[in-house]
Amino acid sequence: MLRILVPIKRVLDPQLLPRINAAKKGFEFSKNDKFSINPFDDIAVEESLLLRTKYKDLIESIQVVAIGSMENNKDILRNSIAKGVDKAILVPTKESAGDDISILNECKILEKVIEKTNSNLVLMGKQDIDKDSGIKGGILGGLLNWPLASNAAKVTPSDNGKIVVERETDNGQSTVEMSLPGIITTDLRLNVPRYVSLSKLMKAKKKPIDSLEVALSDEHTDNGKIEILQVEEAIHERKCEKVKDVDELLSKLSETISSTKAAA
Amino acid sequence: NLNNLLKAGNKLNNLLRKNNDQSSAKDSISLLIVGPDSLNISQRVKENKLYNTFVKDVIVNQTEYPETLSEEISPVIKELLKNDNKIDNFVINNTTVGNDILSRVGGLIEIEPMSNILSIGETDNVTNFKRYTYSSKILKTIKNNQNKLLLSIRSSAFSDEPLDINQTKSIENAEQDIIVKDISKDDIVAKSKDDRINILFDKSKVLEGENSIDVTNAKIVVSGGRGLQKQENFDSLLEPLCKELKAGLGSTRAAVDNGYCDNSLQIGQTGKTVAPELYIAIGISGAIQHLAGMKDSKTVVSINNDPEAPINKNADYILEQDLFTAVPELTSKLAEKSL
Repeated sequence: MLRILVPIKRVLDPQLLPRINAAKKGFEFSKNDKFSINPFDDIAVEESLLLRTKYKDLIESIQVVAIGSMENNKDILRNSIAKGVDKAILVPTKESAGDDISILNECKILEKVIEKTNSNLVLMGKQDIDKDSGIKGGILGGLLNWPLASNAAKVTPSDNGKIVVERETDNGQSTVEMSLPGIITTDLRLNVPRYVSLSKLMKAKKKPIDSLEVALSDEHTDNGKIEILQVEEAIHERKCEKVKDVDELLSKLSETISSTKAAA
Repeated sequence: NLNNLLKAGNKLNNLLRKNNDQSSAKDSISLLIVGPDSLNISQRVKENKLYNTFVKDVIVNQTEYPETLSEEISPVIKELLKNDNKIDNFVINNTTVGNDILSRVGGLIEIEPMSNILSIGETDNVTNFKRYTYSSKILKTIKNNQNKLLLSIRSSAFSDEPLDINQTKSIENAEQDIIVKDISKDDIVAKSKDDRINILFDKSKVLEGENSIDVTNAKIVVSGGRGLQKQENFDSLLEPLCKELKAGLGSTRAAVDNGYCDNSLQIGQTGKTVAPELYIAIGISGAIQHLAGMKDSKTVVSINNDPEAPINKNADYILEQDLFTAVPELTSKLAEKSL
């Protein structure tokens, strides 16, 4: 039986550019900024629900967990309840799960949540679209000593109690068979997350969000493992010059093309 | 990609030594080769010029498992990073396999890794690292405050990295050793064949035989999107152009999802990251996810008959024409001029 845990994170809407703070070491967010669930995590939530639809007898429970303040996370947690997860858990921390908490500490908190919820399958996004690190699944695998099937494009439980995962790799695709307990990180092609109706959302507002206190020992509370020295807008200045035909394009490119060909 | 990895390792080594960031900073680079074929690879690596100049020794761990399984490989690296093995820092290429290995090592030794590093530099005698966040919209400069350093590099970003030969004098005359190590691993996931993670099928092995240019290191990339309309067009229009330009071939998620090409060609947040001298976007609208994978290209060309395509705001030269006439014309004129 699968006891699925889906860690979810709140991120700035992917279409928005975060405002850099005066110290140029972080960001300023206002109440008007639009936040949503990390898109890759949304795919993980959807996959857990699809697994239950297809393999009803295999799924014992689906729980989501978010780290940070109730204020910041209640929307993404309620949204998951409305979509159909069994339980939504908040691990309250002083820091928001943005730049204030280290990725390693985030994973250590998740390690404890997994232990407390007795989960045996973690479904999570392959990366957070704010930090873009793509290392949470692997770190968690190392902490727990569980196998990891990263960048999943298809997830199928097999008859022998294992899970077959088709993965996206740099060279194409790789299919692995993973034993449980284990971790799967989700890629874009896995599914298309559902929208949730307003009536379901209203109903979910009445459901409780469980609070789970997780204490990291003192040596682990230091968040300055990787220190941010500066953040700046990445400027990619482009000429945006219209050319009238292929000949004009070729004249613009001739130098670049001949020099790269010479170097090759 | 070995050359770029060595260039990054060399830069890191020199800066760490100069800035004395870590009391235990060493002055040498070791190359680790793992996997079933590692001994053969190590012999071939000896012919590499950079290797002979910058690498002190090469550690070979001939496992029976493929080098793509982080569950088997990361524990080897953990053992090497133990203090008595005199290795403090670990650098690997930022690929799907590389990141799996890197991040698992991070969990095993409880050190937070830094992934997808674009450059290694210094300010006020502090070694720093740059990486993108927020889909390449934000550039972050960071430093490591831990006693070990784990990082993955974006390989193409280090191709022009100069090599500071003087800094490596200490190993100039050293004979490189190939050290074959049988490394004991305590943290292996699987104790028996039944409970490990098994690779059932790896398509990369099928693709290996094809003589195509590695798009992540290509100087010119030709990339096709939804505008190509079908696979036949994708192949018949883009392949001759690639051949003419000696370019690597890429695509967008839309092109892959519509079946125009294989998903190994995809460039973007899912797929590969490229930073060539010249990026030619053909029939590509320019979704944020795609831009994240090619933003660092030096010159970007867009061939698209839609003047509103977002890619145009991220292009240097825009040819607003029907790609079905423009691309063949471009290919034949390139052949004529033989630039």
